[in-house]
Order: sequence, then C-alpha cells, then structure tokens
Amino acid sequence: MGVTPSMFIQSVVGGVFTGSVYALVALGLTIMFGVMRVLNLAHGAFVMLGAYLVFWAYTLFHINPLLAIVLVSMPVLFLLGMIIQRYLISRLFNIPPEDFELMSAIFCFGLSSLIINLAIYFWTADFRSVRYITDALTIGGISFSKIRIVCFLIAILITGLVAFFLKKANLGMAIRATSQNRDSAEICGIPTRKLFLFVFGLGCALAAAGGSLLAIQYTIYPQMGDDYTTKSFCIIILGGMGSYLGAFAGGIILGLAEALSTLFIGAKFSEAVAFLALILILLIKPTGLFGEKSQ
Amino acid sequence: MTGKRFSFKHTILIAFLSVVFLIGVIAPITFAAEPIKIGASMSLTGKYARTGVYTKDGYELWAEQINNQGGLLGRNVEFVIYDDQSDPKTAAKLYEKLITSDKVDLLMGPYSSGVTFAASTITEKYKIPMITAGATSEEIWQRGYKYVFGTGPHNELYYIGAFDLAKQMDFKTIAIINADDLFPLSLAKAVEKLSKENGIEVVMQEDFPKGNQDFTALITKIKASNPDILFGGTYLPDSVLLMRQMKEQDFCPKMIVLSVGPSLPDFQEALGADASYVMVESFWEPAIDTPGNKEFTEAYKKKFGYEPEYHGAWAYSGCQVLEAAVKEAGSLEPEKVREALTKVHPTTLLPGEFKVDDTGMQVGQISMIAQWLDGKREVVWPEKYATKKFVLPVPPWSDRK
Repeated sequence: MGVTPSMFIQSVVGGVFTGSVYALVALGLTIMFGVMRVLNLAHGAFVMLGAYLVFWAYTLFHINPLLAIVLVSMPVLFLLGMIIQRYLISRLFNIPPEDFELMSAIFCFGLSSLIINLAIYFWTADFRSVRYITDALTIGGISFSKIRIVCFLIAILITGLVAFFLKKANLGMAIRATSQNRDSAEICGIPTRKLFLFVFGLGCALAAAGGSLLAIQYTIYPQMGDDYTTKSFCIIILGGMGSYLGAFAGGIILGLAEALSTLFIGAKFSEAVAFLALILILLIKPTGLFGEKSQ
Repeated sequence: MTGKRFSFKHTILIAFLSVVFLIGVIAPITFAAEPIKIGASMSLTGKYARTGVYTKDGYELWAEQINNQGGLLGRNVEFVIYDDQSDPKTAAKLYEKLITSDKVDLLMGPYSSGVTFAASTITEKYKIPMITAGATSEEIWQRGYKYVFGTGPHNELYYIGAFDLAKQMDFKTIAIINADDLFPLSLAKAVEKLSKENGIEVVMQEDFPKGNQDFTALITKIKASNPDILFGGTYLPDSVLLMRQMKEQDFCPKMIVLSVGPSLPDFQEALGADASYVMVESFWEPAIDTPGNKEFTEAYKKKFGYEPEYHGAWAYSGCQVLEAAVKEAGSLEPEKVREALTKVHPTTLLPGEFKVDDTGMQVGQISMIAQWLDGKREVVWPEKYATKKFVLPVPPWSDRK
C-alpha cells in the first residue's frame, strides 16, 4: 500500500496543527528556563489547569471556549504563576546557584504531583470534553478540521504576539537581556526579581493557552498534561534551550515528525522519533537548532 | 499474718476470676467479632482512577450486603484497600504488604490487566488465591500460575459476537489499530485470531502510542486500506479523538468496533450524535436479566449516587465468586479456597456462569456486543440479552443529519 500525495499532504496538515499546540506550550517553558533557569516539571499540570478552566467556563457560565482562552484561562494561570513564583519558587533563590536547577526540578515535580492529585480530588478523574464545532472543510480532497484551523490560528497569533512583545517592548527586552546574562542585566538596573514574577506568570499563561486549545480538540482529564512536560523538554532541547524561535520551530518539527513517521514507518514509532531526533541533535549540535553558544 | 494469707488467697482468687472472665467473656467478643480482612490494591489515583473507583465501590457494596446478611462463615468482612496509583510496581509492593504485614485473610484483584499482571507475581509467590475483577489479558494466565482466577470473559471471547454479526453481513476485510499497551495489544491479537478463524482478511494492523494526540496520518492509512470493519483497541480519549477525526476526514467503514471508550457514557457526551453506530464489548448492562441484577443496580445507585458501569458489577461478581468459594471450602485456608475456586460454578451478575480452565482463566462468561443507537448503548448480541436490533452497515457521515 503506497503513500499517495493526498495522504502525505493530509498528514502534514495534521502534523502542523498538532505541532502548533506543542510550540505554544514549549514557548512558555523555554521563557521560564531561559530567564529563571527553572526546570519546570509542572508545566504539563499548568496545561491541564488551562484546559479545565475552559471546560468549567464553558460548562458553568456558557462562555464561548475561544473567548475563555483569553478571558479566563490565560489570566487565571498568569496570576497563579505569579503567586507560585512570589511565595514558593522565590524561596529557592536562597540556595546556591549551582544547585538551583536541580532543586527547582525537584520542587516542580512535587508541585505537579500536588496539582494533579488536587484536580483528581476536586474534579474527579472523569473524562470531560467541550463539544464545539465538529465539522470540516474539504479543499482539493484534503480535509481541514474547522476547529483545528481556528486553534492553529490562535496558536500562531499568541506566539506572534509574544515574539513581538519580547522583541519590541521594554519589558520584553528586559526579559531577553536577563535571559542572556542575569548579572549584567542586574547591573544595568533591571529588577530581575520583579521580572521573574512576570516571566513565571507568562510561562504559565502560555501553558494554559496550549491546554485551552487541547480542551477544545481533545479529552480533558487530570493527567492529560503529563506528555506535554516531556514533549516540551524535547522541543526546547531540539530548538535550543531558551531560544524562542527554536521553541516554535521545534514544536512544529515534532508535530510533523510524529505525523510523517506514522505515515511512513508506523504509528508506534512516532513517539520514539521525538527522542531519536533529540539524541541526534545533542550529538550533532548540542546547543540545539537555534541555540546560541552559551557564554 | 492470717490477714495477709487471706489477702494472698484473695489475690489469687481475683486473678483466677479475672482470667476466667477474660477468656469467657471478653475473648469471644473480641475474637469472634474480628472481621475477615480482604485485601486489594486499587487504582484510586493515576490513569485508571475512574474505573478503579468503580471497582472499589463494587467491592464495598458486596461487603456491606454480606455483612447485613450475617457475614461470611459467620464473621463480618472488611476490605483493606490501598491506592496503587495505577502503577504495577506499586501494586506489587502493596500486595506484599497486605500479605506479610496486614496479614489479610483473602485477596481480591486490582484494576487493569497490566497492574494485575504485576500484582499476581506476588500473590503467586505467597500461594494465596486472588480473584481478579478488572483484568482479562490472557498473558496473566499463560505463566503457569495456580493462584490467579479470572472473573470476566478473557480477551479472546470479547468479540465473538462482533464477528458473528460481521459474518451475517458478509464483511470481508478488517483494519486493526490499537494503543501500545498490554490490554489493547492483547485485544488486537485476539481480534486478529478471530479474523483468521472467520475468513476475514486483515488489511492493516498498527499500534499507536498511548495518549496519541493526532490520528490524522493514521486515518489516511486506514482509509487507503479501505476495510469493511475497523477495530480499534482504544481507551476513552483515543476513541473520542479517533471518531472526531474520522468524521473530519469523512471516513466511515461499514462496521466500527472500539474497545473500552464507548462503554462509558462520556463517549456519548463528548461526541453527541457522532457516537452513533459504534460498537463496543459489553460484559454487563443494568437491563440484562441475570439473578439479582436489578436489586444490585438499585442498591449501587442508592449507595454511591451514580449509575453502575460494568466495572462495578464485575467487582461485585468477583466477590460473589469469592463468597461461593469460601462457603464451598468452609475455611479461609488459601489452599482450600484455591481448590474450591476450581470447582464452583456460581451464577453472578454477569451473563453466563463462572467457570475457569486449568490455568484459572475465565471461560464460562459471555461477552455481549453493544451499539450506540439514538444516544443509548443497546445490547445487540447475543439475541438472548438483546435490547435492540443492530444497525449495519454503518451509514456514511453524509447520510446522517
């Protein structure tokens, strides 16, 4: 059974759509890591919280799920992120910097477990879903799910806005400066502690945005984010730790790699492909596709 | 002096009377009332949390009812259940603890094939019989173990009904896809075997990763292989996503059989009318005519506040089997209970009767086939238990409202 061009194009479309959500989630993770050096193993838990917020906003208050992304999910997680940074993660800054990454990983692992189990406790392990626009457009024999087109556009829009903000806004430039060299940034008068509040909030909000998009396309349950933590780490290593462009490209590449390996090799290898790509990148270009040499 | 001697005698008398009192009055109260402890680990958190809780509720309802009826062998029963977090390794540790530290009298199984597979290595080591309530993979019974007993029909029996229907409809080809996990893998193997036995050609077979987030590419491949029947070894999130994306790509084979997912009401909630015509295995339904089924359904709903799924009925039935075996053995001794389990054939809430082969695998229960029709899950096979006539071939998406 051969692969026809339309099968190929259809798979590419699917891969890019999936990849755009990966990219959004990974972007949040890479900003957190780049600026704060936090290995946020709770990222998938924030994805899950974002998904649930859209579900509840839609189910309880009949808020349109697309509006709920910007009105509920992202703002709430932004606030939650700031609170977690202010009262929990900031305490880790007292430990020696060389231990910080490891300690932050351990802390976030515990936090993730806590959040997921609280979700099971309060919301039960039931599978939830948001039923919203389920038909598709067919153009030239290739079908485009309407909802996935919308989700793709939202993902691109949010990613674009964040990129623009980082490039042009004063705060964005401060973030990039801190990411490049924290000590110099502090000497130049950037209040890094205050900046971290914003950065952790932003990272969480981006995870929530990804989760919200999943809520509309996929099934919502307390462990739904687990894969996103591992995949996001793959993506940011692939793209280059702390590189924003890398996170975006890495997300799309992972989505495509999964779809095309399903098509050409077999679905069961699609997960392995992500890790294979990771190993290859680490061997050939350890700083990642878009990573700069660290100072 | 005499006073002292008298008081010494007195002391002995009091001591003697106290001992008599202890043995005669307190001991029977404490020892006779000591409940029979039944141990199990259960997926109360983690990926099987939901179905794990159903299973636990089934156990507890049985315990409550048997205690109301005067207990087992004249003693109350009490479950000791720990959370295994849906993790096989944790479950194995917990069974070790139940046996060696809690010293439970009897054992029931955890939820899911994978977890049971690991837990049974421990129960086998200590030679204590375990009745599984949520495990059906044949692999569990292919290791020559003597102390693990199945309650539900094993995987190879799941889809006999589906193939009976396929043959009636003269379907010729099948595509098999399944999640890369012990249970769906073993279902897929069973379906492959049934296909061969029924002369249906397998035109495609593929595993997909657990928690797959996109079926687009896989669907293009299934579509290209153009099967009459699609079988999916799926869990709920897979089954919902698969149906959504099949609709998006306008792919609709003549018969769709998916495991697990469509047996939950969430399948219908997530998909609405798009859930229609999908078939799923069914081990139990509230409406079927088995002894005590109606009373069970009412009592379960009253106690837990939700409608029972087959997991709860299955767990309850497993306990009924344990009850029958202990009564037959007249003792809690593991060897005697094991012996009894190989002999008894109690009828439970499940269709058919409890009967195991030499390996302890279940062969007496019947797996029914249910189909989603007009927003309801109806039994369509076998005719004896059918609540509605099946609808095949599945109408294409374009013909649906």
